[in-house]
Formats: sequence, structure tokens, C-alpha cells
Amino acid sequence: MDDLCFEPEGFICSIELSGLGQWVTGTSGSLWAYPLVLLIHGIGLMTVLGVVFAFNVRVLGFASNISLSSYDKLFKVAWIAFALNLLSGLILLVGDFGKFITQGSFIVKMALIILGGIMMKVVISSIKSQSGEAKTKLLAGLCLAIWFGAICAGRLMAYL
Amino acid sequence: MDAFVNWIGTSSLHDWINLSPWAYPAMEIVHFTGLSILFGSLLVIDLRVAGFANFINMRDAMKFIPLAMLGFSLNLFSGAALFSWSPETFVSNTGFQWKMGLILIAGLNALWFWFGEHTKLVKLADGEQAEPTAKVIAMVSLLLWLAVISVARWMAFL
Repeated sequence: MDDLCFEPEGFICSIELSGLGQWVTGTSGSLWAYPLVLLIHGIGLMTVLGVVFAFNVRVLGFASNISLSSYDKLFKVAWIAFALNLLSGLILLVGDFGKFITQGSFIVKMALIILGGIMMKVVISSIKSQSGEAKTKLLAGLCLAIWFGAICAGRLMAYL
Repeated sequence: MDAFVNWIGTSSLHDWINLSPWAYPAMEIVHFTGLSILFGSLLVIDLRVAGFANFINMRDAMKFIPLAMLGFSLNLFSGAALFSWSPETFVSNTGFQWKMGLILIAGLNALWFWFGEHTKLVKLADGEQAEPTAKVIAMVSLLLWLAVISVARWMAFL
């Protein structure tokens, strides 16, 4: 629980002290809740980032015999993993709501994930519209950099 | 084992990771990035070999092997640096012991794949299924790495 939770009737407190909030922090007695949700978040994270990486290195020219449309199936895997992370992330957020919504690294992480998702769409549409290989590669490099930034911001949440 | 713990616990790596405030988070970031590279590459390789992505040519999927090794190397180095922070803490941690054991099994599984199956696999025609042994190795590989991620995440709790 964070300092921002002053009064039980307040908005931040009411979220942290909700059934879900008390469940994930272990306050209601479930010691496995937090490690379990964190585990799902970790697996989902590696799957999303792994697919983002495998796709963008291909766009950058690696293993160029693989057709870019064959990544569609991997994207399905990535979307399932992303949904898992949205869900597990929301649960973790509820547990320490007051801390996260005011934490700079958390806000940067959220912004970079949204930006990274948009960049994936931008890279894909750049391929489809055949807007030039150099431009598409530049966008793919930028996309990787943004997702790397998201890893940095996410990890730094434990410190900043 | 004690000798190794002593050696790395008194190494300059140990001093660096303990004295520089940025070293530990920086190595964690490298560790996460390396794992992303390794796991993403394994998804391409193992899903193809296991038969879930037969539309990818086997030889092309195998091009991700060097990338997987790049990811693993990044993690071997960053992992050693993180470990040197306090070797005694890690070796006595149940999650860490499981993690190392599972990585060892995954490594042996990868060696079996490389020496027993790789030459046969790259000869497959486009879209052709791998033999059952190779499929099992690929599935076991994915499951082992999912387990590695799980026990690694639990190192803080076990």
C-alpha cells in the first residue's frame, strides 16, 4: 500500500482496497496471487517482445527468404500474450494504484508500449504500401528502439 | 562450487556491480533484452520444427539459431554480472537452483537438437513435417524455457 492511500473513502484507496487489490497484494491471505500474476506478466512480456524482435529483424533484412506474411500466425500468438499482459498488468496496477499512477517510469513505460504498438502497425503498413525499403527498415529500427525503451522503463520501475 | 562462489564474489565484476548504482539495473535491462531475443528466436525455430508453422522454410527458420545464441550470450554475461552481486544469496535460492537446473536441461536438449536433428531438418523440402523426435525436442525446448522464465520470476519469492 502506498502513501497516497490516505482515507478509505478516497478514489485511490477504494481501488487498492477493492477485493482484487487485496487479493493481489496478499492482504486477503492469498500469498500465491502476486507471484502468479507476476509470472503471467513475465511470460506474456517475453512472448510479445520476442515476436516484435523476430519480426523487425526480418524486416531489417535478416532471413529474407521468410515471407513477411508468414508472421501473421506469430502475431496471433503475440496478441494473445498482449491480452494476458493487459489483464495481469491491470491486476498488478490495482494492487498498488497510488504508486503506479504517479510513477514517472510507469507513465513512460505505458507511453512507449502504446507507441510501440502503433509503430508495429506503421511498419506493417509501410511494407504493404511498398513505400520503399530504406524507409521501412528505418521504421523497423525505430520500432525496435521504442520497445527496447519500454524494457528499460519497465525494469527501472523497481528503482525510480 | 565454493571456490567458484568465492572467486566471483571477490572479482572486479563483483566490485563493479556493487559500487556503481547503475550497474545492476543496467544488467537487468540487458538480461531482459537478451531473453526477449532468445525467446523470440526460439518461437520461430521451435514452432516451425514442432509443426505449427510449416509455411516457413526449415532452412530459413534455422537462421534464427545464431540470434538465439546471441540472446543466450547476452544473458550469460549479464547473468554472471548479476550473480556476482552476491553469489551466496543466489546459490542458496530455491528459484535460482531450479532455474540453473532447467537451463542445463534446456542446453542438453539443444545439443541433442543440433547434433541429432539439425542436419536432417535442413534437408527437408518446403512445408515438409519434421520427424517426431525433432518435434518432441522442439516442444520440450519451449516448455523448458517457459519454466525457466517462471522459476526466474519466482526467485524473489522462493
